[in-house]
Amino acid sequence: MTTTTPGIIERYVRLMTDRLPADLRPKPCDTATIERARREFRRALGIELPDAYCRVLVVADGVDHNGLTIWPVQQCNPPFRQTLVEANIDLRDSFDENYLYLAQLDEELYVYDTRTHEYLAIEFVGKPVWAKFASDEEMFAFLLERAWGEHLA
Amino acid sequence: MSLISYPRTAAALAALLKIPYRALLDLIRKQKVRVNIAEFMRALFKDQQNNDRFVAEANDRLMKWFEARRAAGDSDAAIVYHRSGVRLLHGFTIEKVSYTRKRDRNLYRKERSEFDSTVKGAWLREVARTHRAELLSAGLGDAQVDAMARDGKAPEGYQVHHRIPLDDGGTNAPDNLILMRNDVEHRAIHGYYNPGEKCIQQMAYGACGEVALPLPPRDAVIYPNPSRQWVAERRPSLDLYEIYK
Repeated sequence: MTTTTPGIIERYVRLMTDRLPADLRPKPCDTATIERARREFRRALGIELPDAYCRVLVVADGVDHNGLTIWPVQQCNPPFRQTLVEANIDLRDSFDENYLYLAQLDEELYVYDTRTHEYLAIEFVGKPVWAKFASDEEMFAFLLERAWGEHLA
Repeated sequence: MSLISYPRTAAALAALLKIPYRALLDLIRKQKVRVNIAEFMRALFKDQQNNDRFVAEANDRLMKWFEARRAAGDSDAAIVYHRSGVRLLHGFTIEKVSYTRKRDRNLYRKERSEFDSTVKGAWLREVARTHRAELLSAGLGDAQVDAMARDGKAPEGYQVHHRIPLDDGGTNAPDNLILMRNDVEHRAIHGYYNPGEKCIQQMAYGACGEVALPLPPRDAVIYPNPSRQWVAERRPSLDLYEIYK
């Protein structure tokens, strides 16, 4: 089992959100919104929304930074084009139905494999798996650090 | 009065695909049948799952489509799938790439890993410094280009795309990279029902094959760029259906 620095996900998301122009900056989600997002995700996709995703939502309803997209759970306003559930329905329908799609960074997709219960980094072209993670928290810390470009101690 | 059919279920679409394909496309063309593009493509692939030549023939037909376009004197463009409808990416070419899936998976993982840690930031800084006018003409603002030059990060709504995928012989070399708008353009290049992408998915590691890939304009560092007429244009879904059979 691996551990990540406490609060690291929130710190990256806050830094990324603050970098967006004020009119594009996603708002944090309150507890009721996150609970509603959990229910909707479970209903639409049959699986629990990972806790690490909820930690992102506490800071911002979606992330757009340096090619990274973490989809919002509420209405889809610029710079986003899909909500989390819409992106999953689209990608499961047309890309691979065995994954839950949790983030995209350039040509990389960060997914949960519903067959093997693994968190994976795959690529759009040919779907090769190029990284595996011990947990949702580890995957989010990895992808956020990768998009931010430097390690936060 | 003419009746319009809207088949939505898998069974209804499977039944529809029993009609000879050309006749079916004619019904769609005359709007006697209306189908959702994602549902139709899924049903078509299911219908053809035992046809070993299906994807290879679509690749050949896509190349012919592009060659016919050039022969007719039309400007370069690639036809691509997007969930919201087919797009024509003006300025793109369709090229037959001799694709080899890297057998050395450690090399692939190393290149993929290095991309964000070193290559991407350096490339974005360099492009912001050397191609400022092009980035501005594509619609980025001064502040966005300044931020790119300073931080080496993609502007909001954009991603960095490998022209030739890393999974093939593509590398992290600067001339293999281009800044693409996320959606629709980048998503459409990787459209699941593009013949090239389907072909690659069927290839084993180490295997080779001829793949029709949509490639961005050679001298561009950003796409789209309306100042050069390099934009994504909506096209009737029929244009893609015709590639497939």
